[in-house]
Amino acid sequence: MRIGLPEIWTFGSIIFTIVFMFVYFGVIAK
Amino acid sequence: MSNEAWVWTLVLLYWAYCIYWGIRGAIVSKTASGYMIGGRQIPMTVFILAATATSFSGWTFIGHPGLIWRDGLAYAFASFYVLTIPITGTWFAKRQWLLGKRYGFITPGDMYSYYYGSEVMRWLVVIVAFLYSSFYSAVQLIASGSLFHWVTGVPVITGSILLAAVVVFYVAAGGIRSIAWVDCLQCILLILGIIVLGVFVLHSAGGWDFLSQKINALDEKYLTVPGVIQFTANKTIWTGMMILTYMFSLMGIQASPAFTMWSFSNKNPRPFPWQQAIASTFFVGFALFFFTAIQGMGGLVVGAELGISSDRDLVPKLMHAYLPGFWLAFVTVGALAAMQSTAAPYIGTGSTILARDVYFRYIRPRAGHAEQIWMSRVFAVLIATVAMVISIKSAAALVMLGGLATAFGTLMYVALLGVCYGWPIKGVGAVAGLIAGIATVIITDRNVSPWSETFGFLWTIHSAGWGLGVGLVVALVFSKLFPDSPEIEARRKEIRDWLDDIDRPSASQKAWRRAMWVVVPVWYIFAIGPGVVLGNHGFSFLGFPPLWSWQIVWWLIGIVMMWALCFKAGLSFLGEAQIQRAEKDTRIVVHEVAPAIAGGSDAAPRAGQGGRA
Repeated sequence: MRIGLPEIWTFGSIIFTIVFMFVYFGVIAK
Repeated sequence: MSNEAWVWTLVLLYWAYCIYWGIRGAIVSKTASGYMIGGRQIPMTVFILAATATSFSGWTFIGHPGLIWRDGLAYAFASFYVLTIPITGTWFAKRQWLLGKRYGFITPGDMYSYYYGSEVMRWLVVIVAFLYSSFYSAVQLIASGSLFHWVTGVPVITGSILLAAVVVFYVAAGGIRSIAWVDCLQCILLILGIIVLGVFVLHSAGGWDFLSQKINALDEKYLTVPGVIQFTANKTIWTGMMILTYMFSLMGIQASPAFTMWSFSNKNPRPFPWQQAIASTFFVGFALFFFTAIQGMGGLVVGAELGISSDRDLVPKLMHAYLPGFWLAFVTVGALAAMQSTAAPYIGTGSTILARDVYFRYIRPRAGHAEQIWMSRVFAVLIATVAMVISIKSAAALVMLGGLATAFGTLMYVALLGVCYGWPIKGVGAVAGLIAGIATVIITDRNVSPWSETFGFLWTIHSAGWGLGVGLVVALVFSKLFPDSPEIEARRKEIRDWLDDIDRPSASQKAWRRAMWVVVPVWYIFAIGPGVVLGNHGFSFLGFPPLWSWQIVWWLIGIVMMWALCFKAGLSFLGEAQIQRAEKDTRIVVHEVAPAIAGGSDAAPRAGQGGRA
């Protein structure tokens, strides 16, 4: 499958969210 | 600086931006279509932000966290409207743009009356548009006046009128171009405002460990969905079926007449998938699933301490308690932006629909560009004035009528399924379906129905669900009984043939679409339907209660689903060659002005269409 901007944004959003949850709720706002 | 000084400073800057774009739009927009649909030239980024801001109103900012506080995580499933609102655009926006481009439609009434060969359709759309532009918008304007009162002490009525005046100015002056540019700023303020308030609540209330521990210890009624369905009447119980059918109601937002005009306004359909999958589902979802939920559930933990006694008080009291000077002003402007970004396009499109579908169509068919623009302005002022007067006289009636608007928007699915996908719905069927749907919504709406004791949200199914079901059945049955004339059928066949040819899915898109016939229903059942009960005690991570964890996971799956639908299945994506073809394949049947006024340069209008010249 070709990886273009839609794929980068879509799966980037999901990876960002998962990282954000661990960093923000697990560390920063703990 | 004091809190009030910060608020006034930021509000004045915000107003200056609004007024600037009002004046700029007025200077640029010299033709009817330029004013009403931005000359079909609204740029990509502007549409992405503007359509997102329009979709999410002041309700998202103030009302939604309030109801999470009142009803708990079962209600928080409503946050999935970050997906179900734009999914309507996924089904319909691209094809509406194609039709607008080819036939020169300016209003949704133009499109529906041409396709169904019925002027009654035009009038039904005018009624739905009027509900949105007046009552739904007035709800927003009054809410902004209330918030302004909370923060600055300005009386509610005075504040509402002041805020409405600014909105009406830039809407009336510059038309949809001004609305779109102001909406861009409003979209950013809306999302950031929600996040900022959530962050302050979380940190001020003691951090996540403390908050999540308290939330997990709340009464079961705040943490679970009370079953799949309950055979009751006149009760709003957030069962799986109620969540599902409430989402149907909100799907009406992008089916509303205003969004048909947004579709027509675009330079090309490139922004559609980005608005639907990324701006709305991801960005607004990010704000809602974490930070709105923190406001609502956090409010349950600190409610007694802050003296929160009603869902309407939640956000103002959280703001008052936790936000320091600048941030209080920032979030206040964010909330005002959320309210006004919804009111403005509905007032704008409502006024142009009245100017085109009533004034130009029936009263002054020879009206030129300037006259149509000025009449739109007059209608914008009139709509806002009538709405404000009603809202001041009877706030209860206003909320009731405003609430009907989104359910009526859902009913437009009946007409759109015929126009965009060739469902076997004929002229009489479409009219009968819409009328039956409207009647059903009124009968089954708990807040409106004279028989709400018996039929109000019957079996915990929202009035939009009943209305859409009845509307579709009646439309299909009447279409069988009352066929259209050969002339209308021929017209419809020409539309269908062209649409199916230019928007023919590729082999890969067909394969994705086949998969989506399974994926989408599964997602609906487990993310927002009967299957949500499995989330009551499913899994949990990072201290989120099980139902909240369930929502986050299904939201992330929803982002992937939207990507697959919009881009891979090509439902809202159009290739470069198709866009180029759409630019050339025009067959204008609706004229901005009567051809004699335009210098006879337009093709002759079809009988009963456009300027009736």
